[in-house]
Amino acid sequence: MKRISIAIVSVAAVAAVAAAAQALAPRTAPPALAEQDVRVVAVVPFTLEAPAVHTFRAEAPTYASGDLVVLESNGATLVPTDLPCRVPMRGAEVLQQVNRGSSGVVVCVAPACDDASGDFRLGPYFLSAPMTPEQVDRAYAANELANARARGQVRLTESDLTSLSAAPVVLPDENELYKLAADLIEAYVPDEQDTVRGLRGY
Amino acid sequence: MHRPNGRGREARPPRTHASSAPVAGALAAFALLATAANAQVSELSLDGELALQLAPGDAATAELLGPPTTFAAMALDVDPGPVPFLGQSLPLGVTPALTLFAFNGTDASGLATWPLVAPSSSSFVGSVFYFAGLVADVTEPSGLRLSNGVSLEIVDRPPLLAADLAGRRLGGDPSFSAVDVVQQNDRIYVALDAMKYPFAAGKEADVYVVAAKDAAEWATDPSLVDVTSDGPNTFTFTFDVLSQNVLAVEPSASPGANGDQMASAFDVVVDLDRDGMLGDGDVIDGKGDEVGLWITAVTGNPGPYAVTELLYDGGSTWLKEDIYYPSNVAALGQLPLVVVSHGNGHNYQWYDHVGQHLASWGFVVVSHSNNTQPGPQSAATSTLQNVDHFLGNLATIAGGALNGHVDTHRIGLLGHSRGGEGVVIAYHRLFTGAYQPTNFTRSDVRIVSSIAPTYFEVSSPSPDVIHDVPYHVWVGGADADVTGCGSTFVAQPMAHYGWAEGERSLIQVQGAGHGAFHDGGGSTVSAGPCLLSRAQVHRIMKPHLLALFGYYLRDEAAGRDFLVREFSDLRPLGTPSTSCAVVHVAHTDGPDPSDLVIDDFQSASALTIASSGATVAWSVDDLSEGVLIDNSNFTDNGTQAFNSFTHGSSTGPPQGAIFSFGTASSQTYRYELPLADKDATKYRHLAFMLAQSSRHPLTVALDAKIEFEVRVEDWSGNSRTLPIGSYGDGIGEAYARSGCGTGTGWAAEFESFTIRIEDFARDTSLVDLTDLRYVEFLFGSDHGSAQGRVAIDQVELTRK
Repeated sequence: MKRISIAIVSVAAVAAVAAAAQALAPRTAPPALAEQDVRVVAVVPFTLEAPAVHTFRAEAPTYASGDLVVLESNGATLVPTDLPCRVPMRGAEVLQQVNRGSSGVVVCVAPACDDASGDFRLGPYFLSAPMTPEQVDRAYAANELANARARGQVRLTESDLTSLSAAPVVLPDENELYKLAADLIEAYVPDEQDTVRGLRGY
Repeated sequence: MHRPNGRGREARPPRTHASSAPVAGALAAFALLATAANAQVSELSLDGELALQLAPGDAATAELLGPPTTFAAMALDVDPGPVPFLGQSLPLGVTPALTLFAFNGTDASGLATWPLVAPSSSSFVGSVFYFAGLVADVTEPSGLRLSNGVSLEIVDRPPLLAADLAGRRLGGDPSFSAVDVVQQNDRIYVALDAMKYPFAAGKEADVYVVAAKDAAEWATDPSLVDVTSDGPNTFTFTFDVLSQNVLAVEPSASPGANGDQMASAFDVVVDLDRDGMLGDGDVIDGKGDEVGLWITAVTGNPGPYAVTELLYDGGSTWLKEDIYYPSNVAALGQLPLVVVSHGNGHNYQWYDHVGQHLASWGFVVVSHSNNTQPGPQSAATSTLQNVDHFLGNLATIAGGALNGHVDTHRIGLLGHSRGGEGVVIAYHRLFTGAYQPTNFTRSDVRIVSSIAPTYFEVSSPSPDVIHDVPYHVWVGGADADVTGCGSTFVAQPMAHYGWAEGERSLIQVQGAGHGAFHDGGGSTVSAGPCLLSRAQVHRIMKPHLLALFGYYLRDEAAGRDFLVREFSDLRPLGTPSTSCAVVHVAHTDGPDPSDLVIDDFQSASALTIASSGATVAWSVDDLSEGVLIDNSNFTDNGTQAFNSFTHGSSTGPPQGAIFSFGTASSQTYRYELPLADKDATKYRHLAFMLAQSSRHPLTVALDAKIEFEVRVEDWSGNSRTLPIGSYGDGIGEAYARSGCGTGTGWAAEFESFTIRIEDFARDTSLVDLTDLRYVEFLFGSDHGSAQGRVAIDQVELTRK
């Protein structure tokens, strides 16, 4: 029964994001983004029945909820390299970038970690200075946020968030979360089929 | 049967190399005979030689050349004379022991022959007999013409002897060097140093390449069955320089692969008594349980097995695996495991070229999803958890097809980029006990290999390092991600190499980009000239992967040669032929008390003292010792001794020496060995690593490989100098890539060089290798390249 319910919420989520994808697709010539700017395209709130570890921060906190977010950047900035590279952030939290992003669009896990505080869902969303997430602690992340604010990065409004958000989903664990991320990648970044296959395991 | 060394050859006088008194006597006698023979016009020889040694009971043929179809006679004596006879000089002493052989006659070609059999009693050992011939000749006043004299020494039949017989032709002095590995369809060269084995001199022998047998098999079946296309080769080894005693064997029928093993094992036998059996008096390369020669297959081609590939989901984001194994695994026993950990932004399904190739040769390969985005520590966690999970779930993975067919005690880790650093960290955790595996142990990990690894650990006050496990690094010269540029340690893939305490190897592929090592498509993430395609890089990777994991996980001895020998010497079959495929390999054996590390530069910081205690003297210029690092970009500013070197970190251990040459035609860097280390015969190789300094004015001006010579000298002052160009193609240039400061030339690339110790004692050399004093490197126009700047490291005498 559990698996069936997961499937249902996944379908619902994908339907929601697919609609968002359609909203993204017709848009032409989006305004150029600065190197560390990102635009939020879609948000899928989630809850995990089994908490997961957020390995993208030195404290390795756990999380049981958060959002899958679809971000758009100026393009190449999001492509991960093996050296320290810019990483998507939301507020004072490092996001888990799931796909390569060579098209300029990435799907990220934005965890609501158990050591987080404040209304972080509104952002701001931005790209950090080049870093190695597992070496980044809360203080460093807070400093990145301060720098972002100093650059003029702004939070979403409540209405923005509402309009971008799909219906919340409940998932059993991180594995299913990443499979849902694969669905989003397939919808938003169709040229990353190898990433999709990798996440799905087939 | 070849007879390349037939009667027509000029027989040469033996050298005063033979040490036993009877032999010396025979040689002295021979010298007189040879002088006397100058006045004669009929020719006598024993098996084509003027001086022959036979064991008791051995046979030979005396051949006398004179006018056709005429009377011929031959006599022997125990004294070489000469005495006057018939107005000529008879090369016999005419003692009471003088014995006349049966009268004979020359044939239409002027040849008369007598079969000879040495006395079978061992009491004759040490005896020397002298022979002279006589033919009828109407032009002589006496009507008879005397021949030259020849000698026959009866020597003790030696037991079955072991020698390194198989080898390769060199481009120069010493013309031949023994090797353990040749590739399929390579010509095999067999040489026997008749000065070292004088009993073989002048004897016609059959040379066999046979399927290797161990001691028990030889004892049960000593028969010799040649496997080459044209059967055993007949050859007469002469008392001459080694280059005259080298036989080329056509190998066209010799197999390469042996099932899923990369090489087939052979022994090489010189059958001196020509009885088709291995026995006393013969010489074998591969005595007892040893293997004489490995012939490797086209290791770049797929192996014998069809491959099954499947994707497996372990129920977690970072427990997803792409698994490759031989489709007939059920019939194959337990197979070694290779675990692949991808890099950041890469994908575990991007290593088909690794998985398919190794599985076709009998490995199980698991490429797993890798949590690289947070960094290499997270990647290490993925690696360890995947190994444990895979080994713990063999009963269900692939429907249980692998259950009981994975050898949990033979594991290799192969990581790429952040995954390449991740596998180092993973081993560190096993080493320190920070990770306690459930289904394997630290000692089960036999080899760790990193492709273009990052070096994030440089920022740690106590970096996670590779410790004692054999470690191997792949470096792409054109890498545009982990670039190797000296301006940032994180991007220096060779840094981990310097930390390795065990065996360690490097393969540096110029023109290879970061993304060329996977098969994910898209950009190869490369920069520089002469770029290699992804397919070309994979064709370099495949045979090297097989050699690497075959050597460390299956104890395939043949694999080691591909890690050690210059690429120009042993270029794996199947690698691309493009001139852009420039590859340098370097290898250092781990600590082995049976080896002599003359200098690893890790201790004894004084320039005049090596780490072994050897004394160092030099006439090269600008000598420095220090850590092999460049703390800035590659611009040569004249102040950094180790500019362009990236083999360590500011806290890391790897050190070496560097010097320039070009101000004189001969400049040297010399070790004087401690007296306790003077016996070099305990070792097989002199091994050392050298690298050109990149962007230095001298190397820029040279713009070529550096040629040099190596010299040894004993305590009696006897020396031998060998040019490195005989063995390979010198010290290669760094990759001609610009960026990372001003100028052209990328990170310095060390290369391994190995010279057989015995090569220094070949031919006319009088060097006593039991009494070695100096090992010396010679640079300058007298010895090769006129100028350059060179780093040196890991000078060793090794038994391998």
